[in-house]
Amino acid sequence: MLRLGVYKLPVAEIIVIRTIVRLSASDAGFAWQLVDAPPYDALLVDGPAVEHEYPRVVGMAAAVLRLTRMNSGGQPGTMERPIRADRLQQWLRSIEHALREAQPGGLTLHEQTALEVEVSDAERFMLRRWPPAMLLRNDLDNIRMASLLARRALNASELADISQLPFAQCVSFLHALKKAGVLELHVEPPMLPPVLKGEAAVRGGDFARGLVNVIRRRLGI
Amino acid sequence: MKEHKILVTGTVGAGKTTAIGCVSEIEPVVTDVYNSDTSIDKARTTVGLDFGQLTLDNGDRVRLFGTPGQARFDFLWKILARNALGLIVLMDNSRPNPLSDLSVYLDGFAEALRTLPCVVGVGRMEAHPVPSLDDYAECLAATGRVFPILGVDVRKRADVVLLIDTLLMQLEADLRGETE
Repeated sequence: MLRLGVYKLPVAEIIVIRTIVRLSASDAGFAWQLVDAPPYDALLVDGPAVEHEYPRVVGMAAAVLRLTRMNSGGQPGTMERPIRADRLQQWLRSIEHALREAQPGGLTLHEQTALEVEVSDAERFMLRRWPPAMLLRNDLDNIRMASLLARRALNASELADISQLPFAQCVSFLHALKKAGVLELHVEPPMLPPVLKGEAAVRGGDFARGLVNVIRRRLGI
Repeated sequence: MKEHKILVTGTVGAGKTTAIGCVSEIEPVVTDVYNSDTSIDKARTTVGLDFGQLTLDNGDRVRLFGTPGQARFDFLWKILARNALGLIVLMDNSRPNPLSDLSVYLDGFAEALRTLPCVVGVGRMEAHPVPSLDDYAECLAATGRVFPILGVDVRKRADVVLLIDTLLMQLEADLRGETE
């Protein structure tokens, strides 16, 4: 089940949302449950109440919908009050569809074959464009893996090695990127960067590695 | 003791000085003056270089340089980009044409961006969600570039640290290539 949360909404609206979700649950195809604590797949928030903390709120779920006052202009990512069951259900269906597209769950035979390619050391992958926000879900691990793949063609083992993330997580992420069509295959060894000069030249070896590490320590990363 | 630098560039009012102040151990040295450009609704703007500093535990220092925002200073951008560890481009999504703004910086730093790690931070998305991060990604991809693109609030240290972290990840990817 996908997890729907609410944030800074009036109690009366939470009750309305809870009722809509409960009634919708009678439909076997309805994939959502209303939960009281993170993680959330989608989040309904009070637009005016989160105005000054929106970047943080956006990071709380893959999709955030702001409830705004009536006739507020219908900006993207908003839903005007009062809450209507049909519009809320439509939004949840669209988010469910997008999440299923972005995640590698429920693999078909064809997809399993594709996954075998992703765990092969011979094939490396590189981003052809920065991944959709819906796929990254503002998740730090995803952003770090994508940053590596934006720079260099890597296989799953190399990605796990550099990012210090579990191999399975890297394979899963590669698969999601591939499904989203943002990954390109490099069958040859990864291209070395152009000859670097000055400061860049000292990036090589232990010194550069040490530099990256001490900057990380200093920033508390 | 070595000194390293990270550049912070972007449109006037995107928050370059604020971002630097979020992570700098010293009060940022600013060179703002009263803005005389009536097309820009801002009392003060940076015409020289702002900088902040981080002292590392090995004694090295990382200098964070904020470039002047206006394109007429692009001659300075090229000089500043030399020997930098990376470039942070801050966009203000409330401006009339943010994607066009981005192109100005991609062009201005084009030579450096052939090798320089780069990240794009987009601010004020809560009130101005369009263009979306995906629109920025498309815009970059159309130029054959793939850089991290993140929604940020530069008043928040965590957001600025994340921008720097993505630069460091790119440096680590470079290191992998050099050891092979």
